[in-house]
Formats: sequence, structure tokens, C-alpha cells
Amino acid sequence: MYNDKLIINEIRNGNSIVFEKVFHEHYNSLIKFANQFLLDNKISEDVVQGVFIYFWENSDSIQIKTSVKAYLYQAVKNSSLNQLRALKIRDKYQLLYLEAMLETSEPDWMNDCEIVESIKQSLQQLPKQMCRIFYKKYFQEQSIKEIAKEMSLSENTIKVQLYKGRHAIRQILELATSYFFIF
Amino acid sequence: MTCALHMKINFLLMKEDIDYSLIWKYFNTSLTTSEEKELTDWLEADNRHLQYFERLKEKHKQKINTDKYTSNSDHAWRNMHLAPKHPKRNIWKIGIAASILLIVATYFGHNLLNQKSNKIVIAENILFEPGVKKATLVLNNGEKLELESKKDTLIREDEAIIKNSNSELNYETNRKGERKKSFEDIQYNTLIVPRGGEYNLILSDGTEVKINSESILRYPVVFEEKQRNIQLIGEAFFDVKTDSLRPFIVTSADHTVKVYGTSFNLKSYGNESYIATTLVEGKVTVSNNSESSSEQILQPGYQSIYKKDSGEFEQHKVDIRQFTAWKDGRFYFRNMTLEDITLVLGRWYDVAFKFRNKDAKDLTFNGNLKRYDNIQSILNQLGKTNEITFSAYDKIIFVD
Repeated sequence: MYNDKLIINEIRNGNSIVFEKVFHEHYNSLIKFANQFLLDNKISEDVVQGVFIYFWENSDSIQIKTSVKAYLYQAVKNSSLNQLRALKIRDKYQLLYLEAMLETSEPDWMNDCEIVESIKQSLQQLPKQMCRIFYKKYFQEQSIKEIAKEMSLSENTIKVQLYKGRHAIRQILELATSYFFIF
Repeated sequence: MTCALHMKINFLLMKEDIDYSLIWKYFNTSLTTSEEKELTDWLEADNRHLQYFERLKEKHKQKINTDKYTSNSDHAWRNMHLAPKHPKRNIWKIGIAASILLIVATYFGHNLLNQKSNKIVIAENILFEPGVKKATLVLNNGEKLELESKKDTLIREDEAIIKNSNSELNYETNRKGERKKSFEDIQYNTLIVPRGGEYNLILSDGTEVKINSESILRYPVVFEEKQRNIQLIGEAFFDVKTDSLRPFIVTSADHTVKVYGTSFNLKSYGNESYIATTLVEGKVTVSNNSESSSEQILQPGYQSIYKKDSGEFEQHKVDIRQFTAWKDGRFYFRNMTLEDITLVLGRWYDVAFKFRNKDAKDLTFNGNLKRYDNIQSILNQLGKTNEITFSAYDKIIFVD
């Protein structure tokens, strides 16, 4: 977090070397992220580059709450949704955002508490049925099936008893989706 | 009049807007007729809508489509035209900057304090309780029973009476179970021990099993005549009742341990790349199911490592305490990497570790610690070297 404060300060002072480093660090994954919304490589590049230019030019007034990374993802998300507004698409439930986060599967976004928190909140606001599908699609492990077969148990038994909380993300999801485990 | 007309137009425009959840439902569940109508209206309103929808279809057909494209940040960087910044550095401004910095500093100081109580927890305050005796027993008919440590209960199975007392399940064969059995009419029970749990078990032949966290053991209520077969995923310590006529066989995936009477530890977690059999006393043979020729004999004090990917066996002389201390309520680490330690701690305290400092994974530690302590005292020990710090969010512990 302190590191991010330093980065912002340097960028505010016009340190383009630091800015370039930030650019290279996040550019490719942000493109993947934007592409989940826009499904168009060219537009995604425009959106992400636009976000970086805005970031450079307005760094004095931009408030970074926790991390530069979380800010960039948020900005790319907003900018992508703006593009979709031209196609008359709204996203009341942040479904696009959730899909983008989960499909992009950047290995270490889990390390950013703010991002994790925002995913959690989005999941909590989903109607039950949708939330259940998200969970099924992204967080059930294949191995549950295998173990169930091997041990002659119902998959649900294993899911509930053993794999509950196997990964960190599941811990968070459980808070958001704990009603899965009621039945 | 014009106003009313304007409103009407607005109303029509609003109708054209579609919520993404409709599109999402189209691909993931189903639409009601009115929703279908809404989607069709939107699609017909503009060709670009249709194009976007077609791209979504493609994405759903072959997920890779969007992933295949790899952007080039070097190339993109060359296309970026940044206006240079010229921060003005007047002396009076520095004065103001300094005072702002002070305000900012107090503000962030304040923020950090808030955060600590709110979400992120620093090392000294990470309090996770150790595991307890808990498990779920699945009976032959599929019925599930939650086993609690303090409650003594009697469970009746067709062929045995199962006593549950002092966190131990004890199988006593009844008259029906004593008749001769063939392979087909074996009845099975399964004991599931979750993360943050452990449980003890005495099988119908008198064999004692201590089962570690995140493990599943499946075993016959009463063993068949010729051999004693059980299956394990996870970790357990076995003290096998001697029966020279009936070998005791533990299977984990394609790995088999065969014994007649002995004590050994078997560790076979799905998320680890190997299966480790550590022999305390007696004699065991380990083998890979696919090749009967690869049967290996293990001597006391030795450990066999079965590599799941290559299917090869290795043997080493080991300090057995390192692998069996858990059953006596200790953590005993000898030159163990932090990554391996966190796997063990994660299962027992039911937490997840995330390495933000990747180098820390390979740091090695020695230690002999109490397993029933709060995790805090263990993290304190590990953090003493000053090379690493811990912080926590929900049930995730970050290593920096």
C-alpha cells in the first residue's frame, strides 16, 4: 500500500519511467479484462490506453484508495461499461464485471483486498439463482466428482464436508453464497 | 403536448435499453416469453446490437476466443503519446506541500488504524483457533451423522455397534457380522474429517487409525475373510492389528500399502504431488497398482515417496518424528520450506495462505511447536527471522 503511494507521487511529479513500469505491468491483463466486456480487441486497446492517458494527465486529482491496480481495473470497467451504453446495455447486477474478473483469472488478483471485496459484494447482490450458477461454473472442482466416485458418496456430501473452504476464494464466496450449503 | 410527446419518446428509448442479465440468462439458464420478446426487440433495434450478440455467442461456444488474443504492451506503449509534465517547484509551494503532506500523513495514519479494525489484520492480531475433534460419518445406507467430541453415542449398523466416545469411533462386530463374508456383501462406512478437524477410529479388527484434517477414509464395517481393504485420501496414522492371514491394504488413488501388522503414517493429499508412507515399526510393502512388479519393501525409519506424475518410488531414511508428530499434538519441522509448512497449518487452522512475497516460499524452518496452540504463537515463531511478515483478511493469511 505504501508502495502504491510512492508510485502515485512519482507519477504526479511526471516520472514517466515509473508510469511506463506500471503500464507494462498491467496492460496485457487489463486488455484481457476489457475484452471480456467488449469482445473486440481494437476497442479494448483503445479503452485501456484511454484509461492510462487519463491516469497520466489527471494523476493530481485521482484518488487512489488502496492500490493502483484496483484503480485501473475499476477505471477500465467503467470505461468499458460506457462503451456498452452506446449499445443500450445496462448491467444492473455487475454480471459483466464478475464474468470478466473470473474469466480473466489473473493469478494474483486475489492478493488485492479491494478487488476481492468488490467481487464479494457483487456476488452478494446477485439473485440467488444467478449466484448459484456462478458458483457452479467457476468454483466447483472436478476432483469432487472423482472423489465422490471413488468413495461411493454423493458429490454434495463431499462438497459440503470437505471442500468447504479449500481455497481462499472459496472462503470469500462462502460468505456471499452460504445458502448453497443449506441443502 | 410537446412535453407529452417527449416523454413518450423517452419511454420508448428506455424500452430499448436491455439489462445484461437477460443476455446472461439466455446463455446460462432460460428466458420467460416476455424476456425473450425484450431480447428480440433489442436485437432488432440496431445492427450493432446483433453484432455484439454474435460475438457473445462465439465467446460461449469456444471460451478461448477472447483469451487467444495477446496484446503487446511494448507496441502499445510506443503508440501512447504522453504530454510531459512540468511540476512547478516554487519555494512557497513546497511549504504548502509540506503542510499538505502532514495532513495527508495524519489522514492515512487514521485510515490505516480504521482498516486494521475493519478488514486487514496485522500479525499480532491473527487469531485462528486450532483444529478440533470433528468428523462426519456416512453409514452404509448413505445416512450422515455429525460426530461431536463431547457427546457419547451408540450407532447401530447392520453388522456392528459403533461406539462414539471421547472423539473416537469404535467398531464392535455383532453376531450378524461374524458370519463369513464374501467380497460382494461388504458394507462400507466413510469418515470425513474436514479442514480444522481430526478424529480417531478403531476398526472392527482392532486396528487404530488417527485421521488428520481434510481427509476421507472408507472402510468395511466388518472386513471380509481374506483381506482388510480400506481407502484413504488425506493423511492418517495406522496402528495395524497383527493378523498374518489377512493383509491390511490401504489404497490411495493408484498407490497401495500392504501390511500384516505394523504402525505407519500415510500422507496422500489431492493437492500434493506425492504420496508419502513413513514406517515406524514392522514391515510394509508399497506398490503402484498398475505394475505389480514395482512392489517395494520399506524398513522402519524409512519413508517411501511415490511421485504421482512419474509413478516412481523413492526411499529415504527420515526422522520419523517429523511425519508422525501431528498425532501426538506437535508440529515438528526439520528444514521444512515455508510453503510446505503453510500447507500443514492451512489444513489444521482452516485458513488459506497467499504468498505475495514469492521468495518466502523457499525459506526453511526448524521447529517443535504445539499443535493445539492458537496460530498466533506459531506465526510469531516463524516471523522471528524478520524476513517475513503476516497479515490476514477473512480467512486468508498473506505472507509478505
